[in-house]
Amino acid sequence: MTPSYEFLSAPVWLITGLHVLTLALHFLAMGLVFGGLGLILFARLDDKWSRPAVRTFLRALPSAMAATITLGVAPLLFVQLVYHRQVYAAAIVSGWYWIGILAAVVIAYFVLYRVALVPRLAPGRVALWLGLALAALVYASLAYAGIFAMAEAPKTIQSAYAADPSGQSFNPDVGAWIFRWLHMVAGAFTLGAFALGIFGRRDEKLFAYAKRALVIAMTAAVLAGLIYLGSLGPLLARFLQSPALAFIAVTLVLSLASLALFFRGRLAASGALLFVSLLSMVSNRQLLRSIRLDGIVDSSAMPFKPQWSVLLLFAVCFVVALGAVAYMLWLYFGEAGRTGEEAAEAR
Amino acid sequence: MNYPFWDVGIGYGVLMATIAIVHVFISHFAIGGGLFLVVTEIRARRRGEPGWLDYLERLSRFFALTTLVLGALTGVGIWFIIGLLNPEATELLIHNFVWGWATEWTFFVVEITAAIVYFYGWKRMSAKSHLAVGWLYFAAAWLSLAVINGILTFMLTPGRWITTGSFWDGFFTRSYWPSLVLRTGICILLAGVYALAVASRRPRSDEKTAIVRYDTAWALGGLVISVPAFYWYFATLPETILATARAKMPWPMEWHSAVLWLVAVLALGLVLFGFALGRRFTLPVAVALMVLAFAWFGSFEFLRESIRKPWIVTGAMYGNGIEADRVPELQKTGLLPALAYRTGDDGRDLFNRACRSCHTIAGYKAMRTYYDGTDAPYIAGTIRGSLHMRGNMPPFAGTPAEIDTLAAYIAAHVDTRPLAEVYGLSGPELGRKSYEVRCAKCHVIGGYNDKTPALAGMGLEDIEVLLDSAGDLSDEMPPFTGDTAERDALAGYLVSATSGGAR
Repeated sequence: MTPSYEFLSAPVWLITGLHVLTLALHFLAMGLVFGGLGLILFARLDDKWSRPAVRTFLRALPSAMAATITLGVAPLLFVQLVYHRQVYAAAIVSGWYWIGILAAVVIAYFVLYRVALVPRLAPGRVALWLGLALAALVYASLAYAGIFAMAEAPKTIQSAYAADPSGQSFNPDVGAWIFRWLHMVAGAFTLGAFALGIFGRRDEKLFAYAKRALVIAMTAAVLAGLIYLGSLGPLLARFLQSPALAFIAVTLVLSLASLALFFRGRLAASGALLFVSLLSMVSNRQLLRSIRLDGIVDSSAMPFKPQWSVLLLFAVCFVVALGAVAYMLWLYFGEAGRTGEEAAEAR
Repeated sequence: MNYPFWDVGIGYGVLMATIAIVHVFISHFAIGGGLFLVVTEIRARRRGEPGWLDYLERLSRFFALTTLVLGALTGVGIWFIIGLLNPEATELLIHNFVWGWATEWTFFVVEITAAIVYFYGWKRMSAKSHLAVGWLYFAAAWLSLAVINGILTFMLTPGRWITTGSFWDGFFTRSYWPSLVLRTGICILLAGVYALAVASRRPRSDEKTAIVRYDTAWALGGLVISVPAFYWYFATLPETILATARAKMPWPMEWHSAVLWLVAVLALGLVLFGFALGRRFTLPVAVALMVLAFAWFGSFEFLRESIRKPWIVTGAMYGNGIEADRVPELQKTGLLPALAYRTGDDGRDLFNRACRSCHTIAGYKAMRTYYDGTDAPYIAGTIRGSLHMRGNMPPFAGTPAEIDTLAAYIAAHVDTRPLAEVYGLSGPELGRKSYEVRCAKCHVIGGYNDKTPALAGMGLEDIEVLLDSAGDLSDEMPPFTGDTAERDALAGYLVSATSGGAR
């Protein structure tokens, strides 16, 4: 007999915790790119593309995109440990849309690099290129929302597959994903507005725009979230009886506190609260998934065969990696702050 | 069997290769390139060569764009595609190696950050800091290779994992170290040829000559490491895998012998154009050397993938995602009842589950090539005997009734007119074609499972009688179902073969 692979190699709480943490980090980077890009594209500012803060923001986008992709790998890895059957099944039924995400991200990535590295693009062209990148990212977000919503609805997967097994089915239950998607987009714009505020903290007009955008996006995120909750139907009662209500309260309170701090210019504290509220929201998302799949996925029934030594190796490498990243950023930003003469001398 | 099947018209091998080939070339270059950049930067700074630093900065731009955009995305792309093409195998690998992959991810985070900081840091950081970031980049990139190498070698040589199920038993198998050395050599080789491509665009000068020679030395160094490691790697493979490959997969194994010639041409090209004609080194020459280097690396990957057939994880799971242990049970209870997702067309479901991981009807490894001119009873016979086929086929994991259903489905999608009509042949040519279509799947004259010696001395009529009763010879022998003209032609061909005329 060959060894069974239907087992969990770590406690479920740890897998879930890592999934939530890394997904929140992914959303953070994604919000900067997607929300920030959308907001800057539609901002009405004089000489928008020539403003130093905007140029700096555009130059940062490729790196933020790299972070988005890198940070997106881990949650995808961890979610497969428990929900592999649902996630793969939904991805297969929507195979072409799933693969299409890659094409969309390649386009967005290429465009962001082009805009960041070509020094004197005409303003019209900058808007055109960034519009293309935004369209690609809108596609990717729609595909993700549709597929991951379908992963929580096994009957929809069954019927979609029976109707068309060629991977051309997109989640037919629009109500199940549209509000979820709107909530995610509004959340991304909230994070994007915060990022614009950071980059534009010394640009009065850009910072004022970021403040307005933050209020609007946060309000939209709350509204979309409430509508999404309303669309849950019979599940809503069960959802509200779970710790979800506490998470919702935490998300709302921290978001409002973050907003207040942002308006007072205390950006570090505001950002910290915003990230914790994001973590809380992602936890809720996970809670909802477990309620939707209750009776279909039972992680407690999966054999537990721990791999402690490798887990420890991962934990050590994770800490070392965080340290290495912090060290490199410290080197970069520390020395970037020097005067040109000092840097030249150092070379 | 717990998943739907992505019923797409393109061969799975083509889909996988499209993303995987791009990724492996870029990812290996990314590792070797990291070492190349940091070592060459140290050299250039020590010697005070601004021209070299300018060259490295340009190279790092190309390097960062290629690795960060295409490397990272095709890496994610492999995740996306394996989940679509073989979710069972992905599940097996994820559950066994998730913390290995998670560890690799931490290296990946460092690698990406370092690549960005290194690229943007040329004019903003001190030499010492810039080099520190460069070393961090290379260390993280190479460590990510060291992790993924363990999972790749596991698939061909799972070692003691088969009995223990232990992570480390599956990770550090006998082919781990030679594969790691081989891949490290490839990384250095690819870094050298990529660097040559960037150097080729510089104006003619003594500096260009020096850079081209330096890059050539890197590429040759990569060859010096990777070629012996290639043979070391093959020496560690279990003889059972190699013997089966020699018998049933002669083409990849013959290619294995030809690889040395490819390496010799590459080495000669590098010495001639890199060392002797460094000043006139042009982009077309660089591209040609790059193609040769890819071909050498591709040969290894191609061989590794080919000889693993019919397994996705040797001894544990077949390429179609069916676990070896479950085959006897499925042959009794049936494959269809075990499928969690059905289309309503049983033949299609069986074809998808049993065959489509390697074959399509009309495209990649097409059924039409194998079965045009035959019919359902013949096809059913070959499915029963699939274990004996060349190309390393898995056994059919279903009931006899499901074999008939599958055969009927395939027959409905191929050309079942008589062979003579399908190919417009007659006489000896028809006999040769008939042998190719009906017999050569399992019997190669002068080669694998050759049965012609047993026919020696038999006359035309004897062989015709034998063909008429072929289906009765064993359960795994398909019946001869061709028309009289084809039977006569095949019998004639076999008589000629036994007298040495058909070789």
